[in-house]
Amino acid sequence: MHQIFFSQYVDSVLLVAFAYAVVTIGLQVTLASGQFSVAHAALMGLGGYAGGVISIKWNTPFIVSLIGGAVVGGIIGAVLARILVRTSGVLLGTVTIAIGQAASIIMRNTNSIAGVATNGSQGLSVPSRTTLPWAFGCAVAALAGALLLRRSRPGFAMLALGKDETVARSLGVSLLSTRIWGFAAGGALAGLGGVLLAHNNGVIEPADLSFAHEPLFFIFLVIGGSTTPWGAALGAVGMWWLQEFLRFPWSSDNTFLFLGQQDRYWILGVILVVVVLYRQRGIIVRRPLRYRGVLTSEPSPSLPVVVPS
Amino acid sequence: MTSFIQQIVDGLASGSLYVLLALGFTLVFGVMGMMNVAHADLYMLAVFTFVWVAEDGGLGNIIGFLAGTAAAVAAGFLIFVIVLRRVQRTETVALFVGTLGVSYVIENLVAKIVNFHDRAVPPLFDTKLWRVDGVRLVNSDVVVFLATLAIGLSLLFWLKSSSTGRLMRAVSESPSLAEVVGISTSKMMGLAVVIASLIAGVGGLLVGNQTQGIGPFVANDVSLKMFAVAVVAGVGSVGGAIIVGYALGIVESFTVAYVGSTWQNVIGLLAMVVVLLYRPQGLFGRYSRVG
Repeated sequence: MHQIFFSQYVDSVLLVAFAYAVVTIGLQVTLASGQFSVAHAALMGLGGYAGGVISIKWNTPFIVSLIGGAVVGGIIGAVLARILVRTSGVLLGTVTIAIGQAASIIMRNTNSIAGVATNGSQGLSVPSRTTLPWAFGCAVAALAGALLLRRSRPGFAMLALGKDETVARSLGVSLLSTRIWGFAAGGALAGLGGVLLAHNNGVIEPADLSFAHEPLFFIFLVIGGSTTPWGAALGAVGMWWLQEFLRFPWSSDNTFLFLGQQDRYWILGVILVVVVLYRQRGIIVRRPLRYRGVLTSEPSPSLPVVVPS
Repeated sequence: MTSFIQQIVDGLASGSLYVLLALGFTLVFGVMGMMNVAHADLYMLAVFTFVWVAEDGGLGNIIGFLAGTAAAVAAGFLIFVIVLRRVQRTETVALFVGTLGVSYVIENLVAKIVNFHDRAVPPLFDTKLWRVDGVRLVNSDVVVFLATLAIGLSLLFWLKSSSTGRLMRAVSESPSLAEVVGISTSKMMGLAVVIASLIAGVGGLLVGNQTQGIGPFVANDVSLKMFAVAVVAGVGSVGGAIIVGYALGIVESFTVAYVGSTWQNVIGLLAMVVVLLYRPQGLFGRYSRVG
């Protein structure tokens, strides 16, 4: 009996961890394209709303809801990138905080979408459909997609723009289109993760979109490693495990020594600060790109030796 | 007409908090080029320290006030020494996330201490209500407004005319050039952080006296408005922060009166997006700071 309970517990923790991994990979893709987005919790929530509305209105197979959520997240991301093309760096981050918060408040004041009641601040009730294989499949697909993107030409363009905007533009990388693709790809993954989470929790609320949820993804990403999708994926899974571990599930009253389960938030904060101070790029760091071809060159022609006579 | 003037008075009262926090935030942003997300938490920390010392400790308002201010300054200085000074400037994400982590730690530690409950703040002085031609005036609002104006203008004057203020502006304009001509940039940065924390502490206590309540997560909403004010005014622009902070307060109070209280928190954020689309350096900003 204990064994069954335990394995279900592990399943539920892993499921949420994989869904968060999808969102965090999306955040990594957008950040790698040089756009400091703090709106991914909002994109995730809007994707979750879209997936939930599709599930309820047309009672579609789950895959359709997933695709729908991803498409909505991607389109909103692309629109954001287009609007915010003139700002960058910390300012872009600040504006995206504002947009995320605005999205949360707008959803709080919205009572129905396409004839489906979203109930304002109480949130939309969603059928429970996410299973562990779905979550795992989406996480693997997201990781594979993000890794493949890095090997493609648009992916190189994003990396170049993220590294140095001026140099990238002078080499002919289009700022606008690369930024739009970067934000759209990240937003699509965030939306996908949002559909998974909404169909696991059974509800999606406006509060899920707000800035209060944003630190979570940055904790995952920055501790895991912000330079590679692997860091995002492993950071999300590992840190989610850690925070479940800090609830001390083996103890009957969820305490350990003098620590209770409420203490996990500030412990995570301390871990985050320490990692930022001592390992700015996170635990898993990408090897720098380098030219892997043959590095031999013609010997420089030697000057004829003139012997003075 | 009376209700119109009442909205402006209320807006000036609530805008004072935004001005007080945005002043310090924009000063640190200008001098260090770093956004300190944990800045609004200093306000929360000061008010909670005041409640603990003055009410739980029974030491009275004056010692409580001093303890609250000291707590804010000490916390601000610790954040500077431990985090702000040591994070690499080139890693934008690490910069932002480091102070976000600090804010997370402060909020959740305080929340843990008070069991995730809000607290009532004992008043510094008896509340009096005046009516001038039908417009309500509360004495705690008037005190906050006048104190904010005094703090803001004296900071502006100090930056403009004192020699240390001039050095600070030099660091704000170009840290590397300031270093070259022999200004100790790290000293100026520390000073900016201490001044910012002092303003957040003193101002926060006056605002706590005005709102008479404090919760551990109050900084989340407030810091968004603080960002909005600083960014719309232009980062590093102290005078702009005063004007924009009061303007935001007035616009919010009109929104509550004529549109609906649910939209109160979104107006400033939307204004920020619109301003940044057309003036990425802000309304009063002369320089656009990269990173």
